[in-house]
Amino acid sequence: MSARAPAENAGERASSRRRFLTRSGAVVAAVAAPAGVAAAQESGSPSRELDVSLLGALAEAILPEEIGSDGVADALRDFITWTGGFEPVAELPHPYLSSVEVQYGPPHPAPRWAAQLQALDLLATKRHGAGLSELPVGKRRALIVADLERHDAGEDFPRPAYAGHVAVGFLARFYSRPVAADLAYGVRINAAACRDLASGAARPAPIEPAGAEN
Amino acid sequence: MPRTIEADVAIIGGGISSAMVAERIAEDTDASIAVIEAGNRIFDFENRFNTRRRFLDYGENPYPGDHIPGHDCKNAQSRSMSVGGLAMHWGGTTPRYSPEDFRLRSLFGVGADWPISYEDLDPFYQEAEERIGVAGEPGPPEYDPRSGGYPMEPLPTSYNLTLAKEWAEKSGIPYWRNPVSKNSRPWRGRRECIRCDTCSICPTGAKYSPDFTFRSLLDAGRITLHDRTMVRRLVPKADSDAIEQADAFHRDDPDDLVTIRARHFVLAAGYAWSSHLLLMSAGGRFPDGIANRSGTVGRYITGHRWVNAFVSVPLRLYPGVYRQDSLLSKRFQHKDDEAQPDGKYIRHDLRIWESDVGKRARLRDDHGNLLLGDAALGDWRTRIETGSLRMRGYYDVIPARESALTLESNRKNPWGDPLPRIDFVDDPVSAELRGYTEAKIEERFQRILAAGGGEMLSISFASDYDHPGGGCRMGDDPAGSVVDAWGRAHDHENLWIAGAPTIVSSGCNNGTLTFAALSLRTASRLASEV
Repeated sequence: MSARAPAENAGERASSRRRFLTRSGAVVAAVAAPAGVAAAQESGSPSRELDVSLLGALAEAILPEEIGSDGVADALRDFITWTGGFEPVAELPHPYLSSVEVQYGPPHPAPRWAAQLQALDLLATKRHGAGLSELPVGKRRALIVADLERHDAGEDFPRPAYAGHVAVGFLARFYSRPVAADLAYGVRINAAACRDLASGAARPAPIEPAGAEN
Repeated sequence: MPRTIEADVAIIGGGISSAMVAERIAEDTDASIAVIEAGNRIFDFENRFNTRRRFLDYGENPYPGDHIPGHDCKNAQSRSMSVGGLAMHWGGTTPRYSPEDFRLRSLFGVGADWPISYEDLDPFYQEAEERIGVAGEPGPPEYDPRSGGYPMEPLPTSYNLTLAKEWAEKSGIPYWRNPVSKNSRPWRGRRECIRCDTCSICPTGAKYSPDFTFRSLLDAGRITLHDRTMVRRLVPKADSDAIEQADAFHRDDPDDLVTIRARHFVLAAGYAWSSHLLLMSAGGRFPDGIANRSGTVGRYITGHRWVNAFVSVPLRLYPGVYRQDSLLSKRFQHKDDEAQPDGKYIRHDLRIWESDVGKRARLRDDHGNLLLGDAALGDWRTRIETGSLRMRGYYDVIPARESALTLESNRKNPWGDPLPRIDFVDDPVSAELRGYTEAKIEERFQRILAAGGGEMLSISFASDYDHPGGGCRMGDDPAGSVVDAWGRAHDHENLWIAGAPTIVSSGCNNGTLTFAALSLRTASRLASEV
């Protein structure tokens, strides 16, 4: 399956912006709701430094189009929650077959990612006369691609917190979730979910197309 | 303030071997039992859904604090040190060794025979399987003999492994389910498995871990458990070779001596720390260490190496349903012309797991183009039209006498004691056969691929030993071994060594069940003397 060309003509651009503004408001409302996020933001957690509107604009430009606005909102909500729950320099599991001293995780990535989002927004304004959120998806994506190439993003996704760029971190989190694998495979694998013993013996059930009746 | 711990039986170490010995002695006798563990007590079962969640989301250690900073054994398998030991983290894989493993010298002319046979250990294998709860499917009796059935029927085979088994057996190599200590039905107060697929942190208790045994024994008042208590020295009596006491300290009060007095001492501190303590106890009439008149304490550290491959196969698989599940074949552990076609010593197991290697979402395509939007999904969908599997073989390595744990005088723990290091050294026969063995296993992987279809994605070869053991090997000859066939030290009538340190060779399979069975065998003899 090849990439769908991003919307670039004026009509599509306006439509895209309207969709985004509508969706962005819904997403901000949605991510404000979880208690963990609210608490994290009130407590001065680095997650509050992430501008949710800019993050939403980024998400819309990098996530698969086929997940639709609900999928983008879900991914955004998950990423904000994940970021809010991140504990910097956490103790990591002992590596197997190694006696090295116990390892600790990275510092909080949110300040780095927040700065990158702000930089993308500034770049959008200087290059196109409009902030990141106001650009059509195609132009947003072009800016992000250029930024990723400058950051020398690798071939495979790291664990999200180790991502050097906010776009890589966002995608790494999204593609590590069971919902992404289910989308790719077209079935409900629902990895990492506890389930009754017998259910794993059968081929995973297909995902019903949206709107299909039971 | 100095204090004294007194018991009929003092067990030094708090892992699975300790749990087996403690439980068996508690059941068979009225003896008082003290369990001494240097690490922390992590009895957090009620919180494991939460720690599992954080392990999945953030990769955090689900057992924080299960180690002692600055206290390590160089080249050991893990830093883990807590009540429950490495069997808190383990995957619950419980194959037995093969009968051939106990008779290498007699059957193949290499290594050494054990002083016990598979048949001697069989009832203790069965007992270990009952105690920890093993679910399994018997393999062909010529390759996987057993006198009794598994305590529990196997967990249902996952969809992916059903396809993988059909695929692999086109090669003519038989595969069956790898036995696991995971409940296919409620077992000894623990619930049945619900396939959370994070067995290193099982949130339900369906996978056995030794904390369940210790909690049960504590609740029954059958043991005292002294965690954060580090034993530094075993002290023999002045007028005999028996052990009189163990000198220890509590990590919260390291300047205060804790004296442990017992009629019997059981060293159940694993392959590294058992030898370490014996060597640390050198002095007086035992200048080379306790139980070391033979000079073999710390020697013959054993293990097996692996060959690991990821393969792409013409199967539509759905990785993520039950990644922990695996298939096992002991076909090439047997002695026959197909297993050893050139008359050379080669023995290995074969395992197969589902995998997502080569089938994960990625950031760039093969041409280096960034994959954003629908392009990423499209690329992913193209690549998952075929599946991938992991194949692995553990091959037996005969250890040299110089495969050893030694004390490093220039590297000390925070309390000033020398730390150990392990240097794995192959016996010349294994060193000479290493390249041949690895090539032969790769050839057998290719045989399976040729029959079932598919291609090798990658292959790798271990440098060091996996599932190590030894250091206090058992034997009938006191001049060449540390303990007798029951685990009693040749040099000290009231010192017993349990589990991994006593093994003579590591065979081709994961070792934990064998360590547990050996510990129960030791406990059965000790119980008759308490």
